[in-house]
Amino acid sequence: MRINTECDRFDELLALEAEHGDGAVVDPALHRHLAGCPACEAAVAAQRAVRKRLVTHRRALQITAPPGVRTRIAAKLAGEAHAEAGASMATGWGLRLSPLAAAAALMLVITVGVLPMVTGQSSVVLAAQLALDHVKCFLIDGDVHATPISAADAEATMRKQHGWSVPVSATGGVDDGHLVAVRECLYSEGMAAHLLYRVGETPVSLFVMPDTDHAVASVSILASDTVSWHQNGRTHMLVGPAGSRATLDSMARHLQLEAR
Amino acid sequence: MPFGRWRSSPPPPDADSFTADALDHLDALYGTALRLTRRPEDAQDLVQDTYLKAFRARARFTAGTNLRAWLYTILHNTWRNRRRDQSRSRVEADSEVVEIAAERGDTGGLPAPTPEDLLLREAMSDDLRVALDGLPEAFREVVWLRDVDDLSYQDIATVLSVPMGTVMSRLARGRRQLHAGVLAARRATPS
Repeated sequence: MRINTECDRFDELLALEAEHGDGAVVDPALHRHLAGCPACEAAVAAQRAVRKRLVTHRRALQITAPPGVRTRIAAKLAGEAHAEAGASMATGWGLRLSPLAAAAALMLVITVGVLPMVTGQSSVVLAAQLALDHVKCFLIDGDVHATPISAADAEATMRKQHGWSVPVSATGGVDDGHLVAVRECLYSEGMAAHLLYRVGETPVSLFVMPDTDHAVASVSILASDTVSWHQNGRTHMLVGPAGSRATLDSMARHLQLEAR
Repeated sequence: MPFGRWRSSPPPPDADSFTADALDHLDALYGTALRLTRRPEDAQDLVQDTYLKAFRARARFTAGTNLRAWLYTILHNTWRNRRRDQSRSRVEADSEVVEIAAERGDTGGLPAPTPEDLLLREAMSDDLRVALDGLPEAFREVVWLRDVDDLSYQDIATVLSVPMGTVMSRLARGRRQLHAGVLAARRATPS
C-alpha cells in the first residue's frame, strides 16, 4: 500500500496516464514523479495492461439481451405512444405534435376508434408486437430470393414446435404467394407460430396463436397493416407493409376458406 | 436569438424514431442491468422500467448528445432507488468505504452467490470475467463504463452521480484491483 503523500497527490491522474501511450505527457509533474516512484510506475503499468485487455475484448464481454425482450419493450413503448396520442388529442395537446406524429396519431385513432375501447387497445398492442416481429424475422429469415419451403415441411415444423396439427397453405391463398420460412416468436402471452410468405416481393407474415380474446380488428401501426381473425380455436393475424391491406384481406378470405 | 424573445420548448422526439434509437442500446443496457442485479429476471425488469421512464421523459433528452449515457443514467438512478426502497444494502458506495472493502478484497457486501450467480460465473469462464465479477460494484461500474463502454469521464460522473475526481479515483483503484484479481485467477487455475 502506498502511503506517500506525493503519490496521493497524483493518484487521480494515474487513470488518465494509463490511457495514454508511453511518451505522451498528461502532466509533466506526474512524469517527473513517475520517474522516481517505482510503485506509481507499476500502478500505471498494471492499469494500462488491464485497460488494454478490456478494450481488446470489448465485444466478447458484451452480453446479448434474451430473445423476446426487445419485442416486449417495443410493444410496451408502442402502447405508451398510443395512450399518449389519445391523451394528447383529448386535451388539445395534439396541436403541438409535429404534422407527421399528428398524422400517425390520427391514423391510429381512426383505425381503432370503431372498436370497443378495452379490447381495441389490447388488439393494437398485439398488432404492434407482431408488426415488430414481422420486420425482425424477415430481416433474419425472409430473403427475397429464399427458396420456397413446402407446406408439408411447415406443417411438420409446427407439429414439432407446438404440437399443432394445422393445415398450412403453401401460397398463402394467393397466386403469386409462396412460403419462405417458419419461425417461432415470443409475444406477451406466449409463443406464436410465424409463417413468412412472399407475395410477389411483398413480405407478409401469418401469426398463429392459441385463441385469445383480442377483438377481430384491422389495425395500421408501425408502418404495417394487420388483419386478424379467430378460427378453429386459434387466433390468426396477417401482417404486411403499409398499403398491403387489399392483399391481406384477400389472403385472409382464402386462408379462412382453406381451413374450413 | 435576440435577448428576451419568447422561446418555445422543442417538440419531443418522434416516438417511433426515439424507440428505434433507444433500442439500439438494449444489449448494453441489459448487460449493465445484469451486472447490477445479478438475476436475469430482475435485469429484464430493470431494463423495461428504464425504457418506459426514458420514453416518458424523452422531451428532456437533448438531441445530438449521448443517448446511451442518458439511458445509463436513468438505469442507474432506477437501480439506486430500488435498492433504497428495498433497503437491502447501501445505496451510495462511499469512496472511503469502497476503498477499504477493496483492500480487504470483499465484494462490497453482496449476498452469497445464488444459483443464477453461479450460472453467470460459469459463462464468465476466463480470468478477466472472474476478476471483473469480484470487483466491488462501485469500482466495477466505473471500469466497465470507461474501458468497455468507452464513456467519457464527464458522462460517467453524470451516470453515477459522483464528482469527476471520484470517477478517476475509482477508475485507478478499480483497474489496480482488477489487475490483481486477474493475476490471482490465473494462479488459481491449474495449467
